[in-house]
Order: sequence, then structure tokens, then C-alpha cells
Amino acid sequence: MITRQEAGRLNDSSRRAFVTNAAKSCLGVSALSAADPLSSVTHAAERAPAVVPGGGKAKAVIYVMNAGAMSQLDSFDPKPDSDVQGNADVIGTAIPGVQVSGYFPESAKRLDRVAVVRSLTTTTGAHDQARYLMRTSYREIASIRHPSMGVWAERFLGKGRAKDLPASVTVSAANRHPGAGFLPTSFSPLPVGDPDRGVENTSPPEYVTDDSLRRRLTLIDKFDQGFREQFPHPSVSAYSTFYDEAVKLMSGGDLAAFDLEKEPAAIRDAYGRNKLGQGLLLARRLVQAGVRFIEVENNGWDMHFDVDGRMREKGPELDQGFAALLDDLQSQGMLDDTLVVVTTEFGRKPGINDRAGRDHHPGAFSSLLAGGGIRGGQVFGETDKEARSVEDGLVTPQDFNATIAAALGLPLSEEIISPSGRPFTVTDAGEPLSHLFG
Amino acid sequence: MSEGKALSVHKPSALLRFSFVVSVVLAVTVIDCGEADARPPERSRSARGASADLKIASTFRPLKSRQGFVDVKAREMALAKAARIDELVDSMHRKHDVTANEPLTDEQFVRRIYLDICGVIPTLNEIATFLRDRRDDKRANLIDRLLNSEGYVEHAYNQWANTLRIQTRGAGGYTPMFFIEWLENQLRDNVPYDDLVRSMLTAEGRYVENPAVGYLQRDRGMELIGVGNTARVFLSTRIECAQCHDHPFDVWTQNDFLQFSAFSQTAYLFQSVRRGNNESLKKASYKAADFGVDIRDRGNFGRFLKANEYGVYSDDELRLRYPKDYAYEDAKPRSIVRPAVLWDEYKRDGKTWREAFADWLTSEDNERFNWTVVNRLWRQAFGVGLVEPYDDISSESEPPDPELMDYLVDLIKEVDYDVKEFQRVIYNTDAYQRLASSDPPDAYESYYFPGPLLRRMTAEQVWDSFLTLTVVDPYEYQRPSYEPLRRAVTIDVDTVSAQEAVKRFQKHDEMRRGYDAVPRKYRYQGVELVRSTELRSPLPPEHFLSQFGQGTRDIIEGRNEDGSVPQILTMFNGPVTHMLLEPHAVMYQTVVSARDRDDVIDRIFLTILSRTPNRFERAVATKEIDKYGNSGIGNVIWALVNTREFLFIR
Repeated sequence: MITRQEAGRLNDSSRRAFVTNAAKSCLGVSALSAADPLSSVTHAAERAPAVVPGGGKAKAVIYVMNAGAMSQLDSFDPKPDSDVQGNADVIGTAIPGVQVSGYFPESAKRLDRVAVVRSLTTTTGAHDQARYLMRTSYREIASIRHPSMGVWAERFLGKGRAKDLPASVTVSAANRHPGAGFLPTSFSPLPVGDPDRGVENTSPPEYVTDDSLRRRLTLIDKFDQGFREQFPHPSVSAYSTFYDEAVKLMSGGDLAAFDLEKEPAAIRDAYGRNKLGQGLLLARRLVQAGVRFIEVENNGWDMHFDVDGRMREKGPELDQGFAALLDDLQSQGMLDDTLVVVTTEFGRKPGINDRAGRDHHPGAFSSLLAGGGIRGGQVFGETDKEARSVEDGLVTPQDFNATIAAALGLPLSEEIISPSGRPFTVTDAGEPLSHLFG
Repeated sequence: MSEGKALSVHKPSALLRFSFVVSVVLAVTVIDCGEADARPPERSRSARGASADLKIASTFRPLKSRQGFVDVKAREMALAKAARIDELVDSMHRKHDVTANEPLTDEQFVRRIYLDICGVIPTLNEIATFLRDRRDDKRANLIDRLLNSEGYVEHAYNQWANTLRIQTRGAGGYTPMFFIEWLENQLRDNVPYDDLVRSMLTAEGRYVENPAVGYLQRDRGMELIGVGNTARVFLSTRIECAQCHDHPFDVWTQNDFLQFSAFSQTAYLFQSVRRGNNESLKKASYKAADFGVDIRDRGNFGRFLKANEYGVYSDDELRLRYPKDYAYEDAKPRSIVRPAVLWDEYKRDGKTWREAFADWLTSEDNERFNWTVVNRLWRQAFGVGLVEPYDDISSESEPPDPELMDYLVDLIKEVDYDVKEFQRVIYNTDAYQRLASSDPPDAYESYYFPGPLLRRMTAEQVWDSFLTLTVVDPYEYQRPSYEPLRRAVTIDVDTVSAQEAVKRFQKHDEMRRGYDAVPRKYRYQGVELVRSTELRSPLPPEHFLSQFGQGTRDIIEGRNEDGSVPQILTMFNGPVTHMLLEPHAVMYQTVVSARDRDDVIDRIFLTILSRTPNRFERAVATKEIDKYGNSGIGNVIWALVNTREFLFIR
């Protein structure tokens, strides 16, 4: 992470221009941009009209993926009168008559700002395929990769507000994130591994002066030229963009957005001093800095063993972080145009197994939506008495994603042709849950 | 190694004063400097020349197992088979009007073959030795030499670890390390592939006594998912979607899945001592304090006992039942599932269910099993499988040339599933020894193998290659063998007395502490400079290997070779790159022992890119060095490791 002093040193505007220009003329960056029709998306202003009434209000999305599959019964769809509920308390919420699991007291108090979706269902109980489906709306197959939502948004709306930051960022995400899919790799989210460390290695050693850094970049360009020309392979040319973005980060002042040290200790504490809490805080900072889509991955939900014990760990982290994020966004006046999504890849079995855990269950699971035009204080959909299958208002991953896309104002029916010549839409014919808006 | 000398005529320079020594890793070397300087200058200078040369000559380590060596006498046969593959590939090219890529030059070959067999770029002297070799069979010689190296074991292990999701940390007294060592030894001994798979599927008994059961232990607590993993890894068949309902896009029904799973669900993966007959040990398991275990050690004692409880314990009484919400007509909820295989027939023949299953799966007649192994090995060499998607083969999958596939299947059977012999044949083909293609095939639908496909190095290859550029002997650090710990932890749970168990626990506990971390002397600015196989897994997301796509090994083949911004930042500014320019780095020593400026430039290019510069590049480097001296040399080195050419295998 970059220190204040270093930031000051790097902020020198002459340096920024110097180095960025060097990168522009180097490393094949400009050549790539000219050749690639998609990299110069300029339609940001020609935003499609909102596809659903009340949609199109979200300027940014903070998307929490509870990886491992969050139990619906132990979170937002408890069934206190059934045998399968388990040991945790069930508590009332700010929505009269609506209960959630006792692991979420702070979220419960704030459900008037939240739409709870209880009727999600998916097609697979295998983690990676299910997560892929949630992130892309498409089934994972080996012959093509589909773009994730932040990447679609960049495709339709152009770069985010921040000139020198990528349009989307992932925090703590595993390597299997679908990223840019078949869209240009230059749209890839910037991966931040550890929120506490932000983006690392952004400053060259002291002995490298502006002049020598520029020379070094020129040298790379010259030494790399033959190879680049011989192998016009997409994954080779993709590196051009990464060089470009890296150099921008090295010479830009926006790095401060990644620095959690700049937040008061009280705020950091409020979010929770754990990876999720700090990841959410980082996401809020990035939204302020103009990043459009931030996904925070929150691992550890695969509770085949001792679901109560594990929920006692994971529940409070999510509860605290989510509540702090809602409060923080609201007090900064950001909640109206920032959509917060809490989701997972599938649910967990109502029956407790012989290890006191719950196994995979794609039949029904729950998620939360808040802000960004979503009307709080409502519950969408209903499951049966054991939260085993959906009884009312079935929501597919495609529908759920269409709701997020609608909040962002993305054109749901516009087809984009992949390099292999096949047409794709943002959410594969998903139907947005339009009455969640407004 | 002696051939290396021609390239290294030593010209002592002021820079060299700091550069010699003995030790392997920079951090140590720095500490040793004082001593080094204290020696008489003349003597140290000459010694330095020789030792530095030897130190950087080679990272090669001969294989530790005689059994794993390729048979020198079988060379001719391997070459004849390679020639037959080339005939088939050529005829495929003619049929589809494909022009083969250029053959690899020696420079390109030596880099590619080191990376593909040992997972690491060759050193300057290894390149020089190969380039100077005038024998006709030098490529076949090098292939054999590398197959007979420890580098082979490490690279093969990294591939398996990516496929089998091997993490180094366990929980609850379970350590995957015993399985890891077992697997490494299987690879070192080059145990036939079908035997290896069979051992993993049929292993029986306690983990501490038979680490092969670690394969099934990986999915303890999610055994049905484990069945889907087995089908995917060894049969390239995706049935996991049918675990909960009929497969939406394939032929598999939920019943198929359950029947297929019923074989392996006839064993427990845990057997508590509390259920055994050893009353004394039972007591200790409830009340360790009564037997002198410190209150603070109670948890550790519990884990020590648990370590003895994991395993695979077959039990004929144990049978898989249909779930109580089973929704199809073909079986009743909660009834016993009758085992059945996905295709062909299995034979029980008085064996256990698990043995019958393994016999069927690894049978020479199981076409999907053969396709899977052949396809994976082909893919490792060419970057694309003959059949793609390589891990989702169905009855509709078609290789681009059925005759070639048939031949490869015959070949793997003929060599009795000797993976190394099979690879030896493939690496000796002209088809492999061609320049990589730069156009990725569209969804792999019609790739006729004009050459391998251009690939970025895997995370492990990038990391280990970096070590070759910096650390004099990257193999020096080997994590300590877990064999003594395994022996220490193993108690006879049926007969051991509580007192004896506690005594053994205390001894084991002491020993355990010795396994904690990589010693400080192998660290540089907090980074552990040891080979990828010696590092723990999963690594934190900010680690070099994670940034380059190693993955957390939670999912099958979760590694990826995509670029990213943090990668570039690490390469530009990270500690590992600084290290290259430290006085004791291999790179630095290589430069300071060069004859003159032209030699410096040659050495830098050879060391980093395994080739000499072309005229344009030489002019660029010359200008930089003439103008800026040593810092110019540093800039050239820095720039070269940051080229894409360094990261991609052509």
C-alpha cells in the first residue's frame, strides 16, 4: 500500500503526464486501442432509457458474493415452526411480521431499507458452476467465458467516473472469477486480494527516477516488439492494457481510494475488522472515487459441518458489515444511487446431516437488495414450510441479475456478438423483478 | 557442466568484491559478506571464479529414484512411435489443408522443453551446453535427461495439485502432507497411471498408515461431490449436476449419479477411538488431564488422537440410500441404491464394492479412462486437448482425427500406462517441436495442431523461473520430510495404553514444532525464496503465485493464466524483481563475470529469454549501456523480465 509521502511524490503532475505518455506510445497500447472497436466505447451519454419504471437509478453496485452457499434457513428465510430450523434464535425485523435468523440482529433493524428475495432457485449444486451462473447468468461451459456484470456495465456505459481507475474491482475474489469473459480483457476487473493492503507495488524503488522509468518502459516496448508482432494472440495483446493501467496507477493520485488508513478508526471498527468488513469499506471508498462495480467475495459458507458453530462466526461478520455499509451510504447520501447486493450461489439443505452441518441445496435460497432505486421494507417470494422449494415468485439467477442490470439501466435485450459469432445478452433473457423498484 | 566455462571468462571487477560466496540465497549471502571479504583477495578471486561458475551452472537435480528412470535402451522404440505420430499428424494436415508451423530452433526448443518437463527455464550454462552440442540426437538426449530429473517430479506434482485440489493445510488433526509425500513418491517412481488411480480409489485403512486414502479424505464431509470429482478428473465426465436432479443438459439422471456413487459410499472416512475396544485409550480421549496432559494441550492431544482416526474403512453394512425427497419414479425414497456404472459392465468377483468400481474405472477397456489420460498428457504438451472441452467428454465428442486418437490410446496401453514413456514419445515428435500457433482456435472446434498453442507460463513456472534468475541453487531448500512425523503420530489404537499414548503425543508435539516455517535464511524482504512445490497452499491473494493465477485449489483446475494489473505492478516494482539486481543474484553474477559489453548483452538475453538478441535489440541494449553504464545494465535486465516474451511459451 502506498504511504502518504509516496503519494505526494507520485502526484507530481509533470511526472504523471510524462509516464502516462510514455506508456501510451509504448507497449502496444495505442496500437491495440486503434485495432479494437470495443475498447473505445463512447456511448456513456447515450444511456438507454430505464427498462423498468424506477430502474436506472444505480450509478454503482456493491455486490457481496457469500461463496460456499449461505444457508437460507440460518439467514433470511427462517422457518421457526419447522423441525429443520436448527438451534439459532429467530428474531423480528423492521418489517412487521417478517423474521430473520438471530445471527442478523443489526440487519433486522434495517430491513426497512432492504428488499429480501426469498425465492431464488438455481440449476446446480456444484459451487464453481453455480457461482459462475450467478455472476454471468450463463451456464459455465469450456468453450467460452461469459462476462460478469461489472464488465457488461462497462461495455454499455463506458468507463466509470474515475479516469485512472478501472470500472470494476473485485475484492478477495478467487482466481476463477469470470472477469471480462469474451469481452475485451481490458474490461477485466482489477483484483484486490486483501482489502487491508489495497493495490501493492505501485511505487518504483527510490533509485528509479522519472527519466529512468520512462526509459525502462521504452526498453520493454522495443524488446517486446518482435514477439508481439509474431504472436498477435489475444492474451498477448491483453497485456497491453494491463501495462497501461499499471502505469496509470503508478503515476496517478487515485491510489488513495484503495488506502483504508485514510478512514477514521471508528469507521473501520464499525464495519468490523475482518476481511469482509474492510472489503465493504473499501468498496464504499471505491464508489466514491468513481468505480462502478465492486464485488466483495466473502468465503467460508460451505457448512457441511457444524452449521451453528460456523454461523456464529460468519453471521455476525456479515451482519455487522452490511449494517455499517447501509448506515454509511445513507449518511453520505449515497444510498439512493448505490445498489447493495448480498447473494450466494445456492442454498443449504433443510435437513441437518450427521455432522451437524447442512449439505448443498440448489432448490431455494435468499438474497438481499438495497439502495439504488430499490424500495426497502419488502419481501419477495416465498418458500415452503421447510425452505426447501419455492412456492411463490420463483426467481432464477438470470432474473436476479436482470434486476441488478435494470437498476444500472443496462439494455437487457441488446445482443452483443462474441468473437465466436454468437449473440449474448446481459442476463440471458432474465426478467427483472420490476416491482422491487420505486 | 564443465562445458559451461567457455561462456564465462572471468574478469574480476570492483562489483565482484561482494559477489561470490557459497551460499545459496541472497539473504544469507549478505550476512556472509564480511567473512568473504576477510579472505586474501587473490585467493578468493580465483576461488570465486570457479565457484560462481559452478553455482550457476545448472539447477538440474537427478531423479532420486532409480525406478523412475526412462529406459535408455527403449529410445529407438520411442523415436519410432514419435515418427508414427508425425505421420498421422501430417496426414491430418493434408486432409484439412493445414500448413504446419516452423520447426523450433535449438534456442526455442531448450526453453520449451525445460518448461514443459521441469516447469522452469534453463540456466545460461544449460542453454550454452545444449547449443554447443553437435550430436544429432541431442534433443532426444535432453528429453531423457529432463525426464530423469527431480524437476520432472516437481512439475508433475504441480499439475496434479491443480487437478486434485491439493492444499497443504489440514484441520482437526488431519494434515494433507502425508498424502502429498506419497503422491510425490509415486511420481518419482513413475508408478503406472492406472495403478496410481487404482491405489487412490481402493486405498483402505488408517490415513497415518496408508496415506493413499488421502485422495478420498479430500472430500470428507461431501462424499457425493467427491464422486462427481472422480468422474470429472479420471473420466472427463461431468455428472455432478445430476447429484440433485436429472442432468439438465446431458444424459445423466439422478439415479445414474446415485448408482454410480453407491460403490464408494460403502466406507467410513472416520473411526473414532471412542467406538473401539481400547478402554484405556477411550478414557484418555475423554479425560486427558487425568493422564498428565497439560490443560493447554488438551486440544492438541485431541487432534493427535484424531490424526489416528481418519482413514477409509470399508463396511459392507454401509449402503447408500435414496434421499428422502427423491422425486423420480424409478426408486423409492430411503431405499437402498443398487450400484451401477455409467457404461459397460462391472464385475464384482468377490471383491469389495470399491475394488469392483476401481477395476471398472481403470480397465484397459474403459475407453473414456484411456481418452482422459491421453488427452490430458497431449494437452500438457500442446496446450489444447485432442478432444475439447477436455474435462467434459460425452458420447458426442470427436477428436479432429480419430486415427490419431486411436493410436495414442494404443500407445498408452502398449507402454502399460507409463506416463513418462508416453511423454517421451510426444516430446520427441516433430509435431511438438514446432513453433506455437498464435491464433487460438475458436472454441477448440477445429484445431488440427499445426503446432502447440501459445501459452502463458503457469504461475508456478513464472515463479520457479524467477528463482532460476536469482537464487543460486533453488533446490537447496526442501521442506523436511513428514515421514518421521507420520511415524511419531501413528499409535496402535487397539492396544496402546493411555500412558503410552500420552507419552507419544508429547514426543510428537515437540517434533511438530520443527515443521513450522521456511527458515529465515531463505527469505528476501519477507518473501520465501523457495520453489513452488515447497510453499504452502493456498497462498494469500497478494502472493506472487496467487497474482499469477495459482488459485486456492478449492476447485478442480482452478489455476488460470490470465493477465492482470497487480501482476504487472509486481513485475515492475515488487521485491522479486529488485532481487534480480542484487549483487548476489544469479543474474548479477552472470553479468559481472562477462568478458565485455557484448558478452554482457548476450548473457542477459540468454539468461532471461534463452536466446541471443537480434541486431535491433543489440543496438538498443548497447546504446542504453554505453550511455548509462551499470544502471543501464539494470534497466535492460528489468525491461527483459517485463516483456511478454518472458511470460509466454512459444
